[in-house]
Amino acid sequence: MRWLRLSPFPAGRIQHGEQSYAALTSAALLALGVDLTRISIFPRLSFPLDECGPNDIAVENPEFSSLAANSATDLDYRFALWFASQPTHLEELRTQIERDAPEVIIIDRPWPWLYLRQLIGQNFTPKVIYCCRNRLASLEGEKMSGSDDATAELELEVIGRAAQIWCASDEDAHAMQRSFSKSAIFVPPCSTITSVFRHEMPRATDAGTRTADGRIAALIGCSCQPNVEGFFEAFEHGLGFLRPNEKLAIGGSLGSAILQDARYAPFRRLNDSRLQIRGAMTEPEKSAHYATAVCCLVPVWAGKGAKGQIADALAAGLPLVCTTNALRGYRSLCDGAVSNGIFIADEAAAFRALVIEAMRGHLAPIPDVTRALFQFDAMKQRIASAMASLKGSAINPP
Amino acid sequence: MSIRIIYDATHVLQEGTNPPVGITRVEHYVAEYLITQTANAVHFVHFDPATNRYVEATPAEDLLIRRYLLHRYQADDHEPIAADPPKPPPLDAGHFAVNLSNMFETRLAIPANWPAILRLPLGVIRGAAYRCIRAMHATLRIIARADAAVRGRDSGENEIEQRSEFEWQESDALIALSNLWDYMDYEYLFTLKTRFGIKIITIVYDVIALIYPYSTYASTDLYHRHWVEIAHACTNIVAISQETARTYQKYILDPNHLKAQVSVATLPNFLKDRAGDIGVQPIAELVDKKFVVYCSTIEARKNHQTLIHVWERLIEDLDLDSVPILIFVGRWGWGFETVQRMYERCWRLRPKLQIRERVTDSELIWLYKNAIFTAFPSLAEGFGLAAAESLSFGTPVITSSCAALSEATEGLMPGIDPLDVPEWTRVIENLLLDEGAIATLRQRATQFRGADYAAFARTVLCLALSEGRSEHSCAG
Repeated sequence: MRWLRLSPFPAGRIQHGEQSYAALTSAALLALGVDLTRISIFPRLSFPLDECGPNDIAVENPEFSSLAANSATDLDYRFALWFASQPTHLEELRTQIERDAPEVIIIDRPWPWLYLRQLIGQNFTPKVIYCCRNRLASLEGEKMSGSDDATAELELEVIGRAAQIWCASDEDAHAMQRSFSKSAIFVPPCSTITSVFRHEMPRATDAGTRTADGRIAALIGCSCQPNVEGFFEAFEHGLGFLRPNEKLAIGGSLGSAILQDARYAPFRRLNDSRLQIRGAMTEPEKSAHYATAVCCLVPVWAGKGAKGQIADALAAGLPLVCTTNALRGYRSLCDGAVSNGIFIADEAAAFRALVIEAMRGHLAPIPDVTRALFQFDAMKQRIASAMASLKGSAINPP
Repeated sequence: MSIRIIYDATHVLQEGTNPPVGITRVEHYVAEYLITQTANAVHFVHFDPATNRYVEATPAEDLLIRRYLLHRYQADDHEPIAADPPKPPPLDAGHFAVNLSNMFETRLAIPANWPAILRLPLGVIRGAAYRCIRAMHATLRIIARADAAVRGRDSGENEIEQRSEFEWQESDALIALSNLWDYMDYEYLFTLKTRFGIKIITIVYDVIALIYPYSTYASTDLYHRHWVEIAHACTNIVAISQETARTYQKYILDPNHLKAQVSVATLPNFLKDRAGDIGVQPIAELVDKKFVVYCSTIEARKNHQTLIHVWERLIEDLDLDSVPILIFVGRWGWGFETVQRMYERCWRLRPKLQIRERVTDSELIWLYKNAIFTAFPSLAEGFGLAAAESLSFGTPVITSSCAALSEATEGLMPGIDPLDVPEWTRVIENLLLDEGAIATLRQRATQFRGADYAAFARTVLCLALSEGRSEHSCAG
């Protein structure tokens, strides 16, 4: 079975949530025997070179380079529109698609539909799956800028034409049903550690275990604003609530962003003594990161949509201290474990109090049944089920 | 097993023969009390930064410490102590640097009676030299710490001595009252409590650096870490005032979810209570003069500017003869540039403003006793010992309105917003012009009770000797 995936972001290196989700679902399809080809099309300067994959089409165009440099919000839409109007690029894409002749095409985000719709005709009628991640705002019709309006209109068209819709969050899936009477399949992300690199995710069983560094709380995040703000909201007075032998280990680019923030300075010496900044991590390093920890933290109050980094934390099976916001999109899977493995605090002081409890081994780990929902096998099963139902569906609704 | 009292004398050794002020004075006082008032053995240790461990004081160091503590009011050319070692104590580069620095400071002191034209350039040279010496001092201290174990011994040859860690026992009580933030490895301190079960007692003097981050020389995070770490590591913390205990609770313990055993004990009036030992030494050029004293290090937080502004206005408003001399007693600290500039450039203040950096305790007692009144316009204080000292000699003190100063003066004296120059001027003018006003204040000063001399040290000792590791009933 030949499938094609069209994405508006690089497929080479997992750096952001959407890349991670695309990589995970692609890995699940490959594991299920699907012959999957990935093509990503995006303006060259929108992403670092090292994120690009072998089939990626990174277009050099000064106009979009300038927009990318200015972080223009409508860049993706305008680029896709422009790409769809370029006969040479379209022909190149058509040649590749006709050569592969995919039966199913997955599109990530609505923009690829602008050029894909021009290639679908009487002789080429693949089933289209719209992979929807964190589109709740547009689905619920929240106030948006002009360019978002255009994207929302495009998304309506995609939703109408897609044979199947996969949502990364339960909130998106419910919104799809509510707003468009269109059923969507909830395919939550899973731990990248257990999937892409097939790495074992050991459960740190003894919350009282001490490592040479003392007790460690694990946190992984990128340097995006909700993560940085979350850290300083939770730990506004520094990390003095931790004992000298208790450390917070931070993986990802979040650590360096924290160190550079002016709010860190008044508590620098204390925080330095309680923090381990581990930087970008490979999957085995992430695995070790969690294996040596006694608990996981996801202090995120801001940002809409489901957060990718929590899947690893949930799959790790350690006691998880997080906010309500951090669980957005996965709540239906986690409700059974709230206060039993997953501990929620929406006030900073309560959050810190839970961290203290977790650090000292007073909180229960996440139950295996919940943990399993975020393992790679769970995602595979969900996708296998979606594939089965796809076989019986119409090619694409009119 | 009898409780051994282990006393951290790191700072005592560093300060050497410097006049004990501030933290050093408290350390000396408590240590002296422990040595003389308890049957328990007192072991002196100091922190070795090379190994990040406490090491026991050598016999020579022990002797030196006891000399600093017990014989500080003897003349410099005191008789050799009976137990003096046959050879002088080994050279310690840290002490050498302190003494060198002190010697240069003394030599470069500018005579107050020199003409202004000579004082100004010398002041500039002196400032530069002072900074050089302090830098050299700091460097030598680092060298001394790194190489503290190098000693010339009886053989006359240098050898590297590996000082091993002090041998702790479970019943030990460690008393560490000094500036731990400058040298302590807090993980080690925490380990002493958790691994060896050592009882650790310390003092919190204030948390001003966190409330007024611009008011201290080092950045806030240095002190902040100290205040948090002592709450983790120490079994008992003694706050020097209710205000310090309150702010420590509010700014350190509560935000960090910490529960520490904090006792409050009031510092004694060292000079008043030891006046018999210290004696009184008049300052010749001030005899029969009218003067007002502000005793404090000259630094940003102490707000000397307010008094200078007030004195400028007094000179403008009053007959010059009726304006008393304003005397700043204390060393130049840091962040004093504004005060220094005002002092050097305000030529009209010249006859009415003196800065006395090196005043002995006996001279200070004379100053307190003979001042019309004293002033304490500090922006913030942990206690304000100089205000209490002034009252202990029956001399009124006009303080700023900060809570700790009100506590130190037992609410007897007027408190004025430290930045309200017009109000300071009004109150002081009134005291100078209205004999009844100053008499009333003097009368109120007689009501000052002050703390019992031994109470503070007794609290520390009581905490050290209490059986429970975390419970006690040693109210100060």
